[in-house]
Amino acid sequence: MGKKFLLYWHLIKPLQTGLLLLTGITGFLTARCPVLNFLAFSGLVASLSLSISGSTAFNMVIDSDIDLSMGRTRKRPLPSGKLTRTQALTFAALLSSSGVLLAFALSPLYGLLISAGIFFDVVVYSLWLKRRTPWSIVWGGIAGAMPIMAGRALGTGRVDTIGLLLGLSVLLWIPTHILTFSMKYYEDYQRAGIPTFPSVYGFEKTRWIIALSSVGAAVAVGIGVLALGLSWGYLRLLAVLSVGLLSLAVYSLKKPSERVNFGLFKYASLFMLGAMLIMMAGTRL
Amino acid sequence: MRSSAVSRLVLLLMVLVCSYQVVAGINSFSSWSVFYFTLAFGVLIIAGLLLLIFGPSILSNPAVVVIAALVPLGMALGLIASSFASLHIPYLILSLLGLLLIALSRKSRWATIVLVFFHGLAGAILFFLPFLLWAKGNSPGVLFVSLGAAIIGAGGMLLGTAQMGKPVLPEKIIFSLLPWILLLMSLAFSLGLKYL
Repeated sequence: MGKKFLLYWHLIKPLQTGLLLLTGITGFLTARCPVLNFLAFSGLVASLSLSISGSTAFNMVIDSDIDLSMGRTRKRPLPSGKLTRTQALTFAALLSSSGVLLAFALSPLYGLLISAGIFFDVVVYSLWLKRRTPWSIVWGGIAGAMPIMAGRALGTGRVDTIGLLLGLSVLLWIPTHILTFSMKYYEDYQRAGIPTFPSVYGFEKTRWIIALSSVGAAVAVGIGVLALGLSWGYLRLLAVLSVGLLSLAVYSLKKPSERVNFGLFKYASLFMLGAMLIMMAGTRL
Repeated sequence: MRSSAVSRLVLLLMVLVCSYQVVAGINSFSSWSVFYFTLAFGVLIIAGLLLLIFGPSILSNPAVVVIAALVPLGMALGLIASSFASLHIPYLILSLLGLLLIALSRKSRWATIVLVFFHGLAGAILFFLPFLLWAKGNSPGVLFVSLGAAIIGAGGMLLGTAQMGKPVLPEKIIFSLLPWILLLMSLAFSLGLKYL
């Protein structure tokens, strides 16, 4: 039973799902709606967890042949044969549908955004574009931006400029995250026949895109935090974290290496985590 | 070289302490002091995160010496701007000159002398100024800043000897002590600034 649970647990990429869930919670809390509204808050957490997990599990099913050809992913539950496609598909469909139903029950607009997120991630990104063009990551990015926009929309009752800015910051952060990863595992992606920025445009141009998207993400988060009216202390901390991100991006351009590249990948994740915590703490205190 | 789990936990704590300082611990100071303290704690935050990601090997990067100089310089400038405003601009000019010289002299035979002079000056200000403030009636709590200066001084010397290839302790021990040194220094500075 425990082993079976672990297999399904791996199917939802808990770390990635957790980070996206955190962005959704942040979006909700920035709306300054009453956090003690237990029903809305727990509904948000449950619907987001279910939808993101379901969407991720769908991707695992769609990409299982790619996973089999890559050393890094070969041991995942589907390519290793520990779970069947039917089991994984049923699991993904159950999670997604219950997440979407719950989301629509909370608010039609919120439900619509959650559905759009799943559509962009599963249909547009994974099924349609991932094997055709490196630009698929833009659509993956839009899907990744949906939880924070949806969370804020649930709190405010509409899609506002701040919500769009916060979504944009996640969208711009995603290239830093994905491209550094696709550079580290360049050979794996080549073997699997997946077009990535490094394979189509080369490493140098990819580094430039990473640097520019880091600048964009830092600026979008900064404007979003300013628009939220957070105190100067939080802005200072965000500025410090942004300087670190930008410096590392510039350093990776000047002295490129796999180590610096992967360090940038990790720092970008910490930056986004920090930015979310800053927004959460700043709007609640 | 990879840091141990304890070292990483201590570094994370240091980052949290410094983050708290940047967000809420320095709001009562003038704009200039807030800027300088943010610079000093900000460098510590980024350094902590980079040490967490890359491990102690990042310390061998030549840029570290110049960037690390911002910690004592920023703290000393913040202290002077808040307590001895008339000395603020002269010391700011001296600090900028110092940073420039430290950066320019990295590959020359003057590197160590320049570094020791400007680091030493900032360290001396950080160590002795709180005693002066105490003598002038400040709470003895301000002496925590001196304690922080002593800790950063000891840490700097340990690292300096390791980088010169003549470590007073085995490198492994120095690198395992570094997170503790950074945490204790950050705590001491944070406490001291409360009494300023």
